[in-house]
Amino acid sequence: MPINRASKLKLYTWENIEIGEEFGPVEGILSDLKVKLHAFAVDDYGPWYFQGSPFGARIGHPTLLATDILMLFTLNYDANPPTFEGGLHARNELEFFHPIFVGQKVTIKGKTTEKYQKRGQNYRVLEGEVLDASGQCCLCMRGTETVGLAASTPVGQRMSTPPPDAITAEVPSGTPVVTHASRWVPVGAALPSLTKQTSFEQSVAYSGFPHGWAEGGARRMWVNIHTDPEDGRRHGQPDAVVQGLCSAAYISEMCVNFFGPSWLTTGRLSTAFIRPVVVRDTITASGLVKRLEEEKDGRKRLWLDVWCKNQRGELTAVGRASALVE
Amino acid sequence: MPAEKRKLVVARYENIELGEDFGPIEEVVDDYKIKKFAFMMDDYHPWYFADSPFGKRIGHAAILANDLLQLFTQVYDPNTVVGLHTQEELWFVNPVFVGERVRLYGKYVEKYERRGKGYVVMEADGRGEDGRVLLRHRGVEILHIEPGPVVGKSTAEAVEKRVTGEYRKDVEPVSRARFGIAPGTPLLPLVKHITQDQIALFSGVGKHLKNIHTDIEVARKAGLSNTLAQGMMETIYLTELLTSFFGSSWFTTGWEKMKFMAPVLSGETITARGVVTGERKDVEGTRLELEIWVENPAGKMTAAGWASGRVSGS
Repeated sequence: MPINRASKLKLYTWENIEIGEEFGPVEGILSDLKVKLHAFAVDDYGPWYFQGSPFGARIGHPTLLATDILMLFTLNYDANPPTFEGGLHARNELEFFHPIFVGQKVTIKGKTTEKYQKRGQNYRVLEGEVLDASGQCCLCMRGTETVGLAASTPVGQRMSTPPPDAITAEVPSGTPVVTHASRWVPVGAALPSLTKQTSFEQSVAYSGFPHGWAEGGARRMWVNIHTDPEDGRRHGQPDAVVQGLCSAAYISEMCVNFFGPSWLTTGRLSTAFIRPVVVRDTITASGLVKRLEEEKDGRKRLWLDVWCKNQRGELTAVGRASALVE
Repeated sequence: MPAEKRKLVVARYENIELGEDFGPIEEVVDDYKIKKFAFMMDDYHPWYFADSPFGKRIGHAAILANDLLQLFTQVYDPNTVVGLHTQEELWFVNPVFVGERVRLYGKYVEKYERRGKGYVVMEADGRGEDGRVLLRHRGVEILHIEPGPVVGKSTAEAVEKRVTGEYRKDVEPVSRARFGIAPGTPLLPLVKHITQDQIALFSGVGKHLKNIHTDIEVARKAGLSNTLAQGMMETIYLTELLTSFFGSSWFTTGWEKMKFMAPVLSGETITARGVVTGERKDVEGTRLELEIWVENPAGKMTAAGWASGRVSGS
């Protein structure tokens, strides 16, 4: 059974969401086409994903299965119009332990771990993980989403609380740029930024076919705020909205370039999605070295402030990233 | 009046006007288009991502083929099309370079009724910045019939020479064109798994089109069990097969013609095949001739036709 779906889907309402409810598993072979779909969707054609990697064989992008974790709830709930009111991805945390190899069997599962109300908005938390054939955890994720979204509520605005030591998201002039992580990089140095031109087609590719790779790619497109401009407009947006996890993918690409293989085995990425990315926006991912931290075993973890801005210079996502460094 | 200002006409057979010019439409074959095409067709040939034998990065030989086929949407409403692409013919004249601004021109040249169905024939071409012809297209479609009951029921016209799908099993398949290949020798086949995400992007989900390719409800209303891959996707798989076989020569001398006989469903794995049938001399030299076809997982032909090109370096 590659995908364990509920025999009868529940209405996606606040009342129906249960803490401890399990989703999945979704089992499948990580296909070549899934990697290529992701490469197109986030415009990341890194050679590790198409040829070979420092891990020996071809691997998937670190964030390749992130949206498949986030969409686990659609296995138990009816997430189709007209009953689905939608939701907003407010925060996300990812931790990477092992790369996933192309052609490898993977299992994705998750459960609802929290539901709470804050400033009049309902939130739920889904925690999920990706396991390889031996049962080893390759990555885990914790996604916080709103439940329901009235048309009068601007998507993504004032939904997240900035961390106490707020990220400035500014690179002062004269800041040195460092291309590769080490314990010797100076605090305050900037990473080379990445700029991505988003498109509606990429948004459809990213968000339209959750778990499709595990079913041979025959599954119909999922109509939602990311794949349907009308649904975007119903939620107060000028057009379809690019999934927040795409921004996490852009930041992750920047971190792969900076941390190298260590990102796939020790990387952590926490992001708050604070403003919607509308299709055709141009998004620039940037980062600054924040601090070097010694772990209990003496290894060094380098922390970054990371963020994304749109073409108007508005912040769309902020977060923290870290990985072990030599 | 410019086409974009005009109210789109319902794409029914009786509304089709012959001789009406579509376009020219201008577009740039940019990096994004190259990558999107690579994803849709699962063809990441190095010439499309780095240098080619033509001195710089080029686009897939058929990268403009579907844009030419869709030229009618300048005048006719694409969301009203329920039809069937029955025949496709392409002539490859010059490669298109990445970053090049191209112009597409076309018109309906023929319409006729046969066995109670309305056929329309479009001829179109894509031209480069310097006016050189890149690709010529001739497509035959049935308009406004119900595809479910019709596909696979021999809607194609009588073929020139029936493609049997037979080839010699006692010889090794060939990977590259050369003179002296024994007739009956098969080409190395090309296997493709076709996913709904590829089909949706290919058939206009980016332009919000709802059709038997992008939308399961439209497909079901047309009597189909699932969405279909566009016939043009099969053409492009065969083009990839022939590009691998002929190499650079395919971009300047290639010709292929095929008829679509049965549907290819979302999620199916197909095999594109070819067999060398002989050599033919013309005023410009010698062309290698082939029969080409696409098989579904049951081994049934879904498209079949003919191709020829010159051997590179000859």
